[in-house]
Amino acid sequence: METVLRIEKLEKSFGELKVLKGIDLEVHQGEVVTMIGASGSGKSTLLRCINLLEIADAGQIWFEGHDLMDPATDLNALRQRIGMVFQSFNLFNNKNVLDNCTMAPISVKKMPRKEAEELAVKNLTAVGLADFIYADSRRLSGGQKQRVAIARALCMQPDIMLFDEPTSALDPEIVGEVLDVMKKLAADGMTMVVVTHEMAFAREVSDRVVFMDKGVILEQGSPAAVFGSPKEARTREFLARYLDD
Amino acid sequence: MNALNKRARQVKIAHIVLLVIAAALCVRFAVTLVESARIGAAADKNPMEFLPSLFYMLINSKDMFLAGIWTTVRIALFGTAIAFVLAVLLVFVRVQVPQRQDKAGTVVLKEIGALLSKLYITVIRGTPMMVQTLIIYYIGFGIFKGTGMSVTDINRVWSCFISGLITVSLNSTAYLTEVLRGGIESIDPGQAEAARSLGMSNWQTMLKVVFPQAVKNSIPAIGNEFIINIKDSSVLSVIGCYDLMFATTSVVGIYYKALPVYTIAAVTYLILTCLSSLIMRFVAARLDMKSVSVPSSN
Repeated sequence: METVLRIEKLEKSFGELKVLKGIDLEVHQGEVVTMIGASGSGKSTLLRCINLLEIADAGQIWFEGHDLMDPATDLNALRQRIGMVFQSFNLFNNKNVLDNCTMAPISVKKMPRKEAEELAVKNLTAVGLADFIYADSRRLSGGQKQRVAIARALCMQPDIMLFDEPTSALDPEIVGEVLDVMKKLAADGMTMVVVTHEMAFAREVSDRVVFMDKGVILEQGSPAAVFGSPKEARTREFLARYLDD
Repeated sequence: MNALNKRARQVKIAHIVLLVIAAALCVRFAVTLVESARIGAAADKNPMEFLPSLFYMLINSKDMFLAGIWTTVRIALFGTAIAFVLAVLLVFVRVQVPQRQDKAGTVVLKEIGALLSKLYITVIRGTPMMVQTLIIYYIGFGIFKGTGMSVTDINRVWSCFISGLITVSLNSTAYLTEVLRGGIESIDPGQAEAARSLGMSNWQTMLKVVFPQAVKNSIPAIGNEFIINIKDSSVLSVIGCYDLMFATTSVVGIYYKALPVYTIAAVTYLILTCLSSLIMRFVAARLDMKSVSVPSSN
């Protein structure tokens, strides 16, 4: 399988606090990788380092053969192909749902408006929001907002999608509608890296589960391996708390 | 009934009594005003009493007051508009942050730009507008004098109106830049992160996502700056700019009567500012209502 993303010895500190202590990770074409671990273990920072919303201090990130850490790399061109979904949705407050989805394709890819709108409607329909195309993005529910955010990222036709705790800000009863969209995306063959606390989702959907603890990847493997027979004591301890629920 | 109901009834009665007294006073005042206006209008020389004298001078010098109001409004309106345009340009320089991919020269330019705009804002906000008015007027005068023009010619080109308008514009630019910077910084960083994550450049992110929201949030403060300019343009009278304040002082000079004339000025400024405030509120309400309401499933 072709490697889409390769991370080597990635390190990142915030002041005195070392958040990432040498991360090595590979993500292959069509793979769904979920990252689990306690809050503060560095999952979200790792994700944000991948599309350089945070600049890592040391290490290498290769995306489709491009060295992201090289300052000469055209970051904007690469970010177009890396979709990102945030915990707090971050829909553009000054735009309606359709414009949220068409803004980047029109201004970055120079896509004709008509084509961008058709693409947006297609993606909004896929996430179940065909009736909300002209809605004010601020007036949607959390679950609807997150689905718009996914559609917005898909409108750039990315090669990989990063999800940063996409359901953590949602009420429990509407988590499902977002996870369903993500499952469908995974089934369609999208390469995905998902930071999540939804263990059922991780177990059901992912090809590989990565357990992070205190800035390192402690353990990774198939969901059956990590959830079924975790090798590390720390992993067992972490999972025990979730599986008790 | 119980004590609580009794207390509520007493408060209600007190309100009614106060309202009746206030209404009676208002009617009394209105009658006095109309009466004074009648006396003032009919008089062929300045009456001794305060209000009739006020109306006499108001009616007989109305052209001067109107000319002054016209200048004040124009200076506040154009001054704020010019300042807004300049502030938009200046705030872009002010909020520049060196990016990872910037060349060394670009980084230095951005730093110098941010520093200079900060200096400008500090100087303007840290000095009285009256001093700025005089300095700008005499700088302009000096420059034209240097070209060998005669004083009459200079006064035609470098009029008090032009130099006053430039003062208000430059002064307001500093304040509005800070207003816009506050607006930009109040926008959730997640907005910019989302735009960058979609591949939009720093510039596109600013122009299409952050700045429109920042301006919208700043509208009340921009309206406030307009109201401040209505009042503060009164210092332009030191260079002889024929605004409402200058007209007022001129009328005082004609009649050798100060208090009634300055009262006219105060009331006129109050009407102008209240009117502007009302318009601003209307505009702000209209802008918020633009959003389409949609049923939420949550």
